Amino acid sequence: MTVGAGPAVRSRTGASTRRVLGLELRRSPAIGVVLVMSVSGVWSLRAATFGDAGWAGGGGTLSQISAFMGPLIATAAAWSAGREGRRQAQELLAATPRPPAQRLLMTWGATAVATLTGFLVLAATLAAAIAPAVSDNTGNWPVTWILTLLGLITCSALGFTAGRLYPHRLTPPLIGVGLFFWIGNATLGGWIAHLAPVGQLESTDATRLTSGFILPLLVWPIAITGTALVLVMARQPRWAAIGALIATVAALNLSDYSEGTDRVWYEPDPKAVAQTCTTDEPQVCVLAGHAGYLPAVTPVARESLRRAQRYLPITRAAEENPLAEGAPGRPDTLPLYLSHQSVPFSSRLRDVGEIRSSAGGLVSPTCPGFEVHDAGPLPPIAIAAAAAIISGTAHGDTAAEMAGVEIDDPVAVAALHRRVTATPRTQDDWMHRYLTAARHCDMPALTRLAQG
Amino acid sequence: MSPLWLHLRARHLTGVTLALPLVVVLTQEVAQRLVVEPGGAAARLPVTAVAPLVVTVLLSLTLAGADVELDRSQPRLTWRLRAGHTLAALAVAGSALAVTTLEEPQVYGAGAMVRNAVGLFGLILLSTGLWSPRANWVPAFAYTVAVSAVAPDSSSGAVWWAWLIQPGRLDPSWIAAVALLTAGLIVYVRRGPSRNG
Repeated sequence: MTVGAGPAVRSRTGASTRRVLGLELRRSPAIGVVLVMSVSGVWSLRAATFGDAGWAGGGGTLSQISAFMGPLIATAAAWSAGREGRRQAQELLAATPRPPAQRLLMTWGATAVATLTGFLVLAATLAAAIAPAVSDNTGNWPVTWILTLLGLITCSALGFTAGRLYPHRLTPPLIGVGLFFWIGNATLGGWIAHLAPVGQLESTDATRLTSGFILPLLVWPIAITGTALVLVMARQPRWAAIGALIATVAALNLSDYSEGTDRVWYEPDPKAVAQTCTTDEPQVCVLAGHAGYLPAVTPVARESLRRAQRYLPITRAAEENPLAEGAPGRPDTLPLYLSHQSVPFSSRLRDVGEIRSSAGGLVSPTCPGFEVHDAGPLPPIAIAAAAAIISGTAHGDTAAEMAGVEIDDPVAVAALHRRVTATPRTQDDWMHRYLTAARHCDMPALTRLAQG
Repeated sequence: MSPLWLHLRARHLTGVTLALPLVVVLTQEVAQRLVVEPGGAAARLPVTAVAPLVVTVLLSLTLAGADVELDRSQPRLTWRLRAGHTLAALAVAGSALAVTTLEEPQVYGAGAMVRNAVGLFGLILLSTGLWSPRANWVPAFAYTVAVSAVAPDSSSGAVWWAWLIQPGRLDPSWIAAVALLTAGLIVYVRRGPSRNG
């Protein structure tokens, strides 16, 4: 061999690899997978309720969509892998001088390339949809996105192995359905939820994965993929035991984070939950992750503040930390709820009315042991009326929901309507009496107020 | 052995007959687990989409023998046999699925189960007749995945193109499913399984 033969041989090998991969891409269901992933994935983004405008929430959306793409990829991989068995061509191919791993790697590689392409299309579309409103790039959100891709690759490896080991024509759909139920079980918080390859990362904005959770979460899909591929490709399948051992260790670590245990797998991201406030008064604050919303939220929040200040001693409006839900807020603060406000490909807010109705939550009685639903038929009408008045009558329904009340009875609806259409002076008088009664959870007084 | 028995045995009747009750029991188990979730009966959507897919994929095994050319060389016309076998299989599978979700049948229950079995089996019949008996489950599977990914879609046209993920009440989604079954039956009964492998 001459000195110059090395690069020439490598070049020929590279060209041959590309040719075989191209052939596999054309002959396998890879193109179909990319098409279904792209079209249905992008379409589902249109229908998806975006959590918030943030990369972490975007990772959650991506994981949610991948719960459907994973089974599809596994099915396609199983179909490709079972081809030799279905066509009864094993003996013929065994007689060729090349090692089977080379051939099988190309077959699986085509599905992996299709998976990567489909994922990139989805991720790029999602990024474009979120980017206009994103104001915070901190946190470990890239891990969630990478884990979703790794999970999809794992699905392809699992499908490929199943198809290779059991080349029956029903193996592909059954592996897809089996995987779907595994993932579904995980999203319902089933047994050791985080072992599902995709769909289990309910990432939301202002949160991040805890650092101890990331390593086993990364190791698990890599080890499973390696084990599955070695099992069907290596000359010595027993090497798969090493991968299985690593996967077992990772699984044991992950099981510590399953439902019912005291270890948390996500935590508030301190930078994202820090508040960004207006410099002028009255102060309006949003989470740093929603700082892009501040110009749009400020006038709406101040309008709500002006109305609420007629009845309550509040001086500022601030977004609640979604992870501190239920915790007592500052008494001088009008809480704002900005979840699900993102509009794809825009920095606008989805529903300004929902922000206006935030004040409804301030008028619900908060005495220990008090439950709206146990209070009889009339007090909820009074609560709903107070919520409607304080938030502006046009937003009464949502405000009543914020106060924990749902009114279906037509008589109750009529009573509510009578109250919210009264003159401003009558409303003010009624609201002051209501707030006194609500502060003491005086049910007879609330009943009288509903009737009056 | 009678010709009918040979016909059925070549179409994996035993395996499918054994697998069907297993799928039905599993479906009932999962449906009962989901119905106690926060969404109530509406949480059964994944079951009403996937269980009919599994059952119709099982039935797809019965649509062609091991050698289509050999089947076609039979001296007698077999369209009656195909029609009877197809409708009987669908009736058995549809009824078995329906009994798994009788509680609130209009909300992702028995109605949706039967409609989805009808529509998906129609798709499978179409692809058996026009494309390939071996890969006849592919369009139904791809459709289920694609439509499930976009669920719930409340756009006005979704009731037609996303019939699989609609609740079970009588609406245009039934027309779409029945149309698919009719087209599939016509193609499969008239042409028989395609010659493509």
